[in-house]
Amino acid sequence: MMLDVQDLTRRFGRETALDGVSFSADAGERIAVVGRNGAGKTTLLRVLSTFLPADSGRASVAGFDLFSQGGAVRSVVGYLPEGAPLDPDLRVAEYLRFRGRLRRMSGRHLRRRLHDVAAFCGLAPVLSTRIRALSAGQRHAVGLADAILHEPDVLLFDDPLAAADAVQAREFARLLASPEISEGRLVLFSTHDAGLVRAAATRVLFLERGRLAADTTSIPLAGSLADWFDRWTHAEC
Amino acid sequence: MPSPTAVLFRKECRVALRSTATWCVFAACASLVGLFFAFALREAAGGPATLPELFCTPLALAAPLPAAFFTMGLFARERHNGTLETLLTAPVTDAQTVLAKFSAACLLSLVALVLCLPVFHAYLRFAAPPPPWDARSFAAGCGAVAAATVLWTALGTFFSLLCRHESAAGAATLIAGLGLSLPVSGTVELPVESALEPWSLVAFARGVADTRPIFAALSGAAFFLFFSVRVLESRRWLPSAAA
Repeated sequence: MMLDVQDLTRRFGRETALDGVSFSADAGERIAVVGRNGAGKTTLLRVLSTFLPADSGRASVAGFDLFSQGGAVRSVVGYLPEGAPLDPDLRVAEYLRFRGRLRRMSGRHLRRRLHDVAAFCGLAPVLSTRIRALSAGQRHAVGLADAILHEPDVLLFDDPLAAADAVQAREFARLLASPEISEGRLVLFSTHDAGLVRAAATRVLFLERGRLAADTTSIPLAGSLADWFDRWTHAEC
Repeated sequence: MPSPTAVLFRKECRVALRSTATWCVFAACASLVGLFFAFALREAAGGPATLPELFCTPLALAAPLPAAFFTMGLFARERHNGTLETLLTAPVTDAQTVLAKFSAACLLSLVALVLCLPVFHAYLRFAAPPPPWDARSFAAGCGAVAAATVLWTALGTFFSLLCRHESAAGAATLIAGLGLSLPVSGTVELPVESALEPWSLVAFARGVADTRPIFAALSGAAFFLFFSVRVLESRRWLPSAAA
């Protein structure tokens, strides 16, 4: 089991962002986490990335306990936060080398992976460009390259299409479904884009007010996310 | 394979040294020390003050400036860019992060002060007749200034974690550093001189090395670094990544 989450709860003051969420997932799955704004998608991904601690529950990522083995979990997780935040003062290659070394990648392995992910994410022509000079799409590609650089077992993407145009969205869906990203790994991404779910997801988790309202592998072939939400909400009732 | 602390330390130093602003601060610091040193020499002509004392006083006056500059962006910039989230989800502990960033800022602040030493050398080279001075007193005075710089840097690291904007963190470091000194000396009307008082700089530069202020500076730095780690941990409790 690559990911096992049991009764995960996270509160912010009186507000419960995650309310007893439980699910498990295996390598090879591509799971879309969907829900309305404030449903707890980002909180779930932040807890799984170890950025936020949970108040109760338990979870294991690639066999490591999320709460007692946070350091080990971080080394097997690749995480792309919403908006792909990057250090604008660094050049692309420099940034990726920095991130690789931070994850204790050896020199030869890092050079090989840097070459591979640059080619895969279409970053080869801009490796020596400062990040501040990149377009939004290129910045997003750098964030993706950072997340997959160390060949993690679990990939977490928080609303990867937040600032993407239609072409970038299509390209990202293609990358996400490609074997380089998904083979042998668990991919968990939150999104508001039904097209991305249809193109890349093999399973959908629907969060409603912090609770897991639906967990399905039958992904609707038509309709918007709003239609799906209505259907799943009524099914729950 | 270098540790994450070393990797983060090298990255901070590299980014800082690449910035034009860093070299401007180095130059401004040396100019300020040179200017104050020239004033001090003129004012103290015929007085009892020793040469190391006259040089270490402006050096200590300038010390908070590079410390505030190099620490103000340590965490405030990460929060501004949103990269704190990616940093805190990398396999590096909060203590390692604080230590690496503090060490880099501390080294750069000390480099800024070391680059002021040619001012002293130039005076010795061109003064006629060559003035008498004691190298050990000079070293003791510089050591006291270095200890104070470590404290200012730890204080700046702490404020950089508390503030969202770099300028606010820098200003807070300068104000708090000066404010910490005032109650000790009680000479509110001369804040510039009173800032030096806790470090017994005059005594150091006369060759009287009292370990108490050094201990106070280093334990104060440890205190602020400890709280910095705690503040960084508390970033995880908040709902917003940029909070």
